[in-house]
Amino acid sequence: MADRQEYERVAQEALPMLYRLAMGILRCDADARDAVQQALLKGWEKKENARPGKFRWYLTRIVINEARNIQRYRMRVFPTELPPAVVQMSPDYRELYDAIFALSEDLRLPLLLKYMQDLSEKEAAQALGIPVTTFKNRLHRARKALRKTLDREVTFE
Amino acid sequence: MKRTLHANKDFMNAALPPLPADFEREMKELILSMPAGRPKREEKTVKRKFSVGLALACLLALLAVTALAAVLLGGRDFVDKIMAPKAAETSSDSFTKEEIEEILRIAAENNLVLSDEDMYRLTHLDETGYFKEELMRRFVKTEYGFYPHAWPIEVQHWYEQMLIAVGLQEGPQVNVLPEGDERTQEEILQIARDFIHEKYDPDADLDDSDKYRRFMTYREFQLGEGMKYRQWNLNYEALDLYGTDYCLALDSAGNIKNEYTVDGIFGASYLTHGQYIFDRFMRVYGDQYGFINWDSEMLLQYQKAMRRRLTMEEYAPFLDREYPILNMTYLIPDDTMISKEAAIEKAKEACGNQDYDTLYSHSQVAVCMEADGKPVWKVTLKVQGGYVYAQLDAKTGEALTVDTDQTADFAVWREYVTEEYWREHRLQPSSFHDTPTPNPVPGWRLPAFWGNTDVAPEWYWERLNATGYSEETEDELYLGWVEQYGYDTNFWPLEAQAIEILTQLGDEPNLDVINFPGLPTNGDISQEEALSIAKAAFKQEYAEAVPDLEVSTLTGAFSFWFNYQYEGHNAWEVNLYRPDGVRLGAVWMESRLGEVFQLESFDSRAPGLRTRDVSFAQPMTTPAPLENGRPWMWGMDFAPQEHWEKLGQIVDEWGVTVENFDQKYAEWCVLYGGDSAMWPYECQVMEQFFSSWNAENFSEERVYYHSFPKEGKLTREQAIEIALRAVHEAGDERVGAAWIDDLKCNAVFDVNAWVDALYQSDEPLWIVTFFGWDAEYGYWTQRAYAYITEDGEVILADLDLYSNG
Repeated sequence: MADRQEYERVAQEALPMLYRLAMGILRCDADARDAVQQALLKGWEKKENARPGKFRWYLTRIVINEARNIQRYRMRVFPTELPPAVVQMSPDYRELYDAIFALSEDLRLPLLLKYMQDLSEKEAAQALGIPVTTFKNRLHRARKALRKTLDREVTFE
Repeated sequence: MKRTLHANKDFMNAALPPLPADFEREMKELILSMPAGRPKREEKTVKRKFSVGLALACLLALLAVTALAAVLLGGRDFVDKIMAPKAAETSSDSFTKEEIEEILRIAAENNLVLSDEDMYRLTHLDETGYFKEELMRRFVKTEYGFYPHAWPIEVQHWYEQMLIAVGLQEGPQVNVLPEGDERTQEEILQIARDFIHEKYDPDADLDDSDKYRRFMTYREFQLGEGMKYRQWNLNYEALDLYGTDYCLALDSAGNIKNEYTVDGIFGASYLTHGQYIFDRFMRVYGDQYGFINWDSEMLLQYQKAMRRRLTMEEYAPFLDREYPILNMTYLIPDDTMISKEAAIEKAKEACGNQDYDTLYSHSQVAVCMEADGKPVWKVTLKVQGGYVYAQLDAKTGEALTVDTDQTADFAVWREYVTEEYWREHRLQPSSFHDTPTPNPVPGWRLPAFWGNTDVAPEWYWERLNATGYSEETEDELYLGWVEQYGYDTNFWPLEAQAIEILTQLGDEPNLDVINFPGLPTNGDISQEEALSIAKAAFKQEYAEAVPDLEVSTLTGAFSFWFNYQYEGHNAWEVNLYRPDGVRLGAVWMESRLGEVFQLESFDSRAPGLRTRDVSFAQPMTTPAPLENGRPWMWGMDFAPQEHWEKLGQIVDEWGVTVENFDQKYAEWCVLYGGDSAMWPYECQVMEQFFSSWNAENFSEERVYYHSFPKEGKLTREQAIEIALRAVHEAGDERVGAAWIDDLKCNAVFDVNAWVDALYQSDEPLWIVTFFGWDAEYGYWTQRAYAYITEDGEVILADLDLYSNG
């Protein structure tokens, strides 16, 4: 169970990541804020369900669920333009960014969790509510799809 | 040739929008304002328990304010006599700006001082005010310290009682005091001391507050039907990097119910992995907001601890973040260098006049390190909306590089690496792309392959269409499923699960490697049968680790997969749930025979995935074997005649045919173990040809297969030798030579090998894999690899520290 200190520390530290993850799913600032806010509230309400030292991935899981709820019941249309001043990057990486966000959410989320977060594959799989083998499968498919789309070598670190 | 793209955490972080500053402030206030037992975001009507006693207390407090003016109040009394009555006056959970001004005025008269950060926040409030509980807690901390669980239990008890009395928390009270014949706090402390001294360290000076921080709670839990349970939790946290933490739980009679220790940063305990090392540094050096301002000495100690830990045990997720830090050379500044303070000032001069943030301990960071063989100060300064980074000559203070980054956030470790390293391994910011590329809408619509009988049989699509699913009905169907079955899709009908998955795949998913959401037919075992098998298997697998497991009380939620893990087998997935709704685990079984091949447990006493070696029924789509007992693809043109001749000799020597292959497989499992990577090479090759291929997915274009080296080319033994040298070269400094030498090794000679999971090589390669035993999952996992040509050239060689099963 996460105590108050752990909640405060982890929640503050994870805020940028939670927001980015919500944006990675929802692509809309207003909805991402709602998802994060709801996740923080629910994370506090249900903190006793989090195992010691696992509160970060627990919050991650809640954000994903909240974002999916919002996605399902509020928005059906995703913005066709990126928010301004989001990305300053070379055209190559812009292409990679576009390719990542062209993936279905099923494949995009494992990539985001694996490479944005410090979650192990097991923790990321649990955050998504899928078996580890399924998570690895989706990660493999995501990487493969990106390389096929970009027609070039992409290394993941 | 297009250049390689390096996707890593920093790219992913930079590619998404940063946390907006206003939202960050708002959420941090929300986080810090969570009252015990009930979160607050919007004003809610609060049940106010306004007893006669409390009313009298308010009156007395009002009268007593003047009388008390001559006696300074401590934090607790200030809260008890001034703030609590004021909080009880309204049903709001926040003090207004005006009320806070009054509170701060009285606090100042009593010499009660809050931190600069708190005062800044409280004097720059908007009209929503500030949460009552949060502010009261701040003042209690001025007397009893920052950590509420380190307050005396009598104070914890009083504080919670007060919150309930003024209506900011709902009862019943959890923090209690010993009563009747229950052990007193002093007795409990003595029991704990005696236990720790006897079992662990007779010299542990647990009562020295410079050496240990003690957290202690006494709480009551309602077990239902009027039954209660009281428990002491006692944690001694060492206040240096090396001491041991002691954690105990005792019942009201003083019996120790649970206890464990956590070593310091150089400890051998399995709990002392990377995260705990980081946490210990945070404890010793961090501020109350969870940030550390690292300096060179700390970083050198951190490197030492992390490198030592990495030689003992991998903690792959941590390496991702820590790897750059482990590669730096940090320096202790000497007299020939400018001071840290001077470096910060020089950096500000170089960066120009900006609004430099000074509120947090990490707002201004300076670390001395080596860059290109010379000592430098790397200075990071927080400014509005981002950070500025300056690298200075450590001796002269000359600014060598200055950069501003508006997209970074604190989690990125740029502050602690050289700018050269940053540029080499990180994204180069470039001019802003004014014309954003339209993003394809993922599409809540039927995918293009819907109804395609090449993808799934006609009866399958008929069953999905029978749900009435369409773009028009989608909302209603989804809402209906959620209402009827809940948010957990494991409980949905299989058709609903299939629709939910398929509609998110996009128009052109790679269906060759997908766990396709399936539907059972008459040839598959029933759901009830699957549940029965799953329960029995789960009990058999986990009963020893989870002795109180009652599988009869578990309920099942089902999924069905075509081509599970793309091996040609359909599978039932049975998810097992406890009566309280918590998912305990899952069992996967082949759908026709019910052979269990995979289990997963989420119980903390036996977590993880476990696999079983089973002989699957041959996929129904496999063509008949040849008359000579060879498998159906034997002799095809994708492999040269020499390959078939060589394989034929081996098959004859081992006496293997399609008919007896299952038996041979079982014998090899007994002889060599369940993991075929540990088998003789000939057996691995035969396994691939006799059991791993499904004709349905087979294509003669660039078939990937195990084969044999040509005469005069590298042998398997030579390949392993070369691979070992290459892996040592790649990994000795990171994990130590002994760690690598302990690994087991397998080498396969592959034609059309998949390099780095996607590209197929044009030439045959020796794929040499090094395995370590993963005790958590109970099987061998890849820890290093090397790809070598038949002429001995090393294409790739590296550690694989991300695989965890």
